[in-house]
Amino acid sequence: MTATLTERYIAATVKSLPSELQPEVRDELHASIADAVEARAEQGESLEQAERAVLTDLGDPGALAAGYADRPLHLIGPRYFLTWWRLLKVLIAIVPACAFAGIAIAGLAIAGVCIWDGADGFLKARRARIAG
Amino acid sequence: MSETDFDGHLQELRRGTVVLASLQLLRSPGYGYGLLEQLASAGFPTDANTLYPLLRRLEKQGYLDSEWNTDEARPRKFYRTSEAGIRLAATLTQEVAAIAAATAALREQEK
Repeated sequence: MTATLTERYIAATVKSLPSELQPEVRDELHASIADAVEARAEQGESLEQAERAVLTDLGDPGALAAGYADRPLHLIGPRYFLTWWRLLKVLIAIVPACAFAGIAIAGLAIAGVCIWDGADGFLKARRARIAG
Repeated sequence: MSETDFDGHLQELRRGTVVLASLQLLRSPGYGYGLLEQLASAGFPTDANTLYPLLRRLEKQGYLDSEWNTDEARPRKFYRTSEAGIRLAATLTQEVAAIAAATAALREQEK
């Protein structure tokens, strides 16, 4: 039972790493966690307590994996943040305006067709009355 | 002002020194958890989740060499500071000394 918690932690850490990195990180983490658990157990903690404490200290496996893979934990870093922010502000100004304009044009076109149809029908009816 | 308000600044100042301390300590080969203990007793307390990825990064950059030791019951990855790592450590040590001297000079001016 105690082995499975560590196993699950390591599996969760390793799964998002490039495959060539996985075996090495897995083996190394195994040793590091076992060493740390042993050291805590020697201080008088139960194995289960020690394991839990060690894994809690290591923290979110996703964050640990990001450290190993040298992967940032954000989508847009400081390098591109301002450019992204300015673009976003421009888009927020432009996109709704374009959308409203598009809807208005479509609305006018539909209304135009309706008026045309209505007038057409009216003329036809009048012509029929005159002829009759 | 409580001490915890300083934590962020202290952390920032200490961040680079973990690299220096690791490179110095690993002149004689060491493994992850052992180094963690050594760092703590040498006055460079470090979190495990900071150190382990850091070791990998330094290895990738060529400042550490590594070798698996399978002689004992528990196979461990041993790291050792490379030639390039020794040069980096020397440069970082000089830099820390220069910063310490400059800081001391600032305090001299106060008087």
